[in-house]
Amino acid sequence: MVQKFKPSHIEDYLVTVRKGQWFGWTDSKNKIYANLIVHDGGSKPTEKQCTDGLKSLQDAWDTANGG
Amino acid sequence: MALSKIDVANMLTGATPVANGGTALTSGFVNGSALGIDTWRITSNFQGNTDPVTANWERDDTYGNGVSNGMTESSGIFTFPSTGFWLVTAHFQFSGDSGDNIYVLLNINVSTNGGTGYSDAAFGYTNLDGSGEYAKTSIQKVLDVTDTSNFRVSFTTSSQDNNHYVQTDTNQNASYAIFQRLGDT
Repeated sequence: MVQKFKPSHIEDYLVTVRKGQWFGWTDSKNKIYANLIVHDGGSKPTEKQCTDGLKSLQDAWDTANGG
Repeated sequence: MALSKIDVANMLTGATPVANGGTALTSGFVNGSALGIDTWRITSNFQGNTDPVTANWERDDTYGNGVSNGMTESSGIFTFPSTGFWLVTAHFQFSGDSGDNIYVLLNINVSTNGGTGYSDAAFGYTNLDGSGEYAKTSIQKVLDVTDTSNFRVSFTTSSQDNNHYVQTDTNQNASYAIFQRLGDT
């Protein structure tokens, strides 16, 4: 996914993992990995998968925007 | 001649509003205490068709929500605290994926049988032309809530290619619903 705004949070990656409202946060005001919860009983990405996934999105955004 | 007394009751026809000395209205007016407004918003982004939007709702908790006689929410199903005319407004913020020229649909769904079945009560379309496209859809419906135990409201979103994103925020309103009690039924 390429956006107008550069991805900046692991949530930008999480929405690409699978569709629907499969994840949420125990504290929505503090969206850190430790507060990530899974609603649908599916697998929870590791923290590394989240940070790597975000990095990939950012790299794609940079490429698409002449970075 | 100076008037010292006006016989309002005999000069008017129809019902006359009654006040109890200025501290609280008692009849004939829209009673201030019966008004209500409550805002709920979604706190986590998601992608794809969702029927209904069940998760990550929170009551607006910034800059005053104005809650008075608030709604009850459970797994995306909203119930009303009192009968009356209620205005339901849904504002959803969407963004596109790779699909070109796709429609994105937002619905307000209403149940009058305690959630056994839902019908579309309002809908709105917007169009997204691929990634990097953003659009907002706002729809409204006035409901005559005659039975709080049987009226339910939920929201659904879908798109032509099931790839749209719903954008949300927990510190400001992005995709959210407002429930406003207008008056007695």
